Amino acid sequence: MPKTRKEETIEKIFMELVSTWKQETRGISATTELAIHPAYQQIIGLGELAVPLLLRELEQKSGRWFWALKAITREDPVPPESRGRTKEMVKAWLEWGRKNGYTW
Amino acid sequence: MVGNNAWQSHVKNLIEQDHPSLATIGYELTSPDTIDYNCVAWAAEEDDVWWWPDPFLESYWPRDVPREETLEAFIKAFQTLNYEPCETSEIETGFQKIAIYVLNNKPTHVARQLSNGKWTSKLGSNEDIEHNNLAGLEGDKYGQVACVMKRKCDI
Repeated sequence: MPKTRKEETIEKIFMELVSTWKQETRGISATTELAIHPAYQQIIGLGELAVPLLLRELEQKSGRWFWALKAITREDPVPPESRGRTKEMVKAWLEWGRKNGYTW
Repeated sequence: MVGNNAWQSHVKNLIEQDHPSLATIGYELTSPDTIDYNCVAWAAEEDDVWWWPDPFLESYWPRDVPREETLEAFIKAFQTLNYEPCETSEIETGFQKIAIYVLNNKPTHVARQLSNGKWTSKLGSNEDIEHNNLAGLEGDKYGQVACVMKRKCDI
């Protein structure tokens, strides 16, 4: 399905924010610092339209987008025993995305 | 060698912008970037978990260790792996060491000593490096080494 103009605009903004975030958080291990970075927060601010974009980024493993997905969707498909286990967290979110009809 | 020359050159430029001392102290790239694990996990010899005491409960943190971004909590985290604070970062036969960096009273990074006396560090979501000493990563980004810990090992 072709994207709407709004979706294209959001995607452009999203990619710019992702690029900024990756550049400015290079070498950082602190989950908190990664998530409170202004670009990460602005991505959260894009809201629901960012969800398929975040799932795509997660599938490509460009960053730890878990908090952003949780903040926007207000859901958490990651079981407690999988916290921190990146591959399991990615799998849980991608399965959640497919189950909820997202395509990316 | 990890990656090709062009990739190495590009990545080294980025690393040395953050850690200027590395260029003089000496280091090499030992892995490509991955989000699978961070410096704390790597120091704990894990490469599939992200360790951090974040309040979002997103990352792994040892049970019963305060989920706080404090040096004390990090020391306790590594005590769960049988590390204890020690006086020196010098290599000691029969012991394995880790070093915790702190900036503005908050832990920023953990490095692990190798059997050759050099140190290995995972740089956030980015690459692993092997660096000749701990000073290579001291500076504006990671701060200073605040605590070195050791545990007995079979090596």
